[in-house]
Amino acid sequence: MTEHRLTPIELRLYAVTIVAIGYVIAWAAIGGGGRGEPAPPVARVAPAAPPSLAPPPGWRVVTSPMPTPAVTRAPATRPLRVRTRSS
Amino acid sequence: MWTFHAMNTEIAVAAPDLDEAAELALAHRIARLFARVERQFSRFRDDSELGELNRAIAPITVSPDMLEILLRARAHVRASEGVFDPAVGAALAAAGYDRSFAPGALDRTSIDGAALPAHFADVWIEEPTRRVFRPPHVQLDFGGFLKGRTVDLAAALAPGGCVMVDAGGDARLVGDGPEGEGWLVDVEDPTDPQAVVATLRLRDRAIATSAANRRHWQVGDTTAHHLIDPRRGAPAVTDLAQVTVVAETTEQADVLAKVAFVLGEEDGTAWLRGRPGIGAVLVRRDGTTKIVGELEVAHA
Repeated sequence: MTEHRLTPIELRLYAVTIVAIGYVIAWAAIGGGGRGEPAPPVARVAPAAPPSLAPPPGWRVVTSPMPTPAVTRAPATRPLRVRTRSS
Repeated sequence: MWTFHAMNTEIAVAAPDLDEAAELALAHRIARLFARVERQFSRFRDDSELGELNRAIAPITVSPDMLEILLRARAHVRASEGVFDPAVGAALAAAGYDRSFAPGALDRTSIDGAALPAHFADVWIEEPTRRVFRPPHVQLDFGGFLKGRTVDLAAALAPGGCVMVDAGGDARLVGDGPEGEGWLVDVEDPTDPQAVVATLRLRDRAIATSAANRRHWQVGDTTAHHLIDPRRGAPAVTDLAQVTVVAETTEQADVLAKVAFVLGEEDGTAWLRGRPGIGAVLVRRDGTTKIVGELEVAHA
């Protein structure tokens, strides 16, 4: 029976696995990030009250600005007339 | 003349009575207007107010601008007895127009299925509170009607004198033009973009054109286009290749051109003749043209 010696890569994988297991155990012990409060059950969201997209009275939605398009001079050779077509 | 890009087309602004600095300042104001309108009403932007309205699953409070557009749209829907209807967004998407247009970008081998019949009349609008409810199957798309309205608002920003605001061929022409003899408008031949079917001379008028020759795409072996017949919920089948309408406002010209295109030559002509002060150039699918109403034709 030959003795199997761990390679440096295998040793690192074992170490990472052990650290990860320890992290998960510790995370579970402190409440999974929920500050000790249980996660709200899905059933608490009343199906008859869908989220409203309207802001409350007195509020308005602040929107991100849209850049103003760059204005450039038309070529001097372009005639000052319209060419109508479907666009 | 100054140009910028908005609403997926080139916008040209000219005010020959102004000096260069004032004309440029006007162009910048108009560019900001177009950017604001596009930001608010684009069907393809998730963060637009129209996008919010098209996603809402309950009544929402809309902005005064949105309310105004909705009310104007409703007036056009009623006047056209539903032949103009901005509730065709779902039909457009079902036909393949589901993203901003670019040549070839919408081509596909098949479509997933037809949209449910949708009508603007199904949208509930409570004016005093600006509360709006859109049934889930109704997707709004203001399209050229909104572009025409924006052109009209843009022209109103000018301090006076001669002004041209041209949004890809939908234009408002204020005054007598640069030479004092009217603004010249070339009506493009839909079968040959290099050719012109007529040249018009306009004063204090607006013009808009509807045709299927530019915004079209392939669905398998068939060609689809963006002019939806709301009665069928599918691209219009018509004997016309193009309709150009001259009216008091660009908004009106755009709506009338669209309606006449969908109705076809016979019904479209009768419908246009029933509206005073309207002129039109109809191009049939065989390439022949027909003038409706009073128009000053410089060259034909």
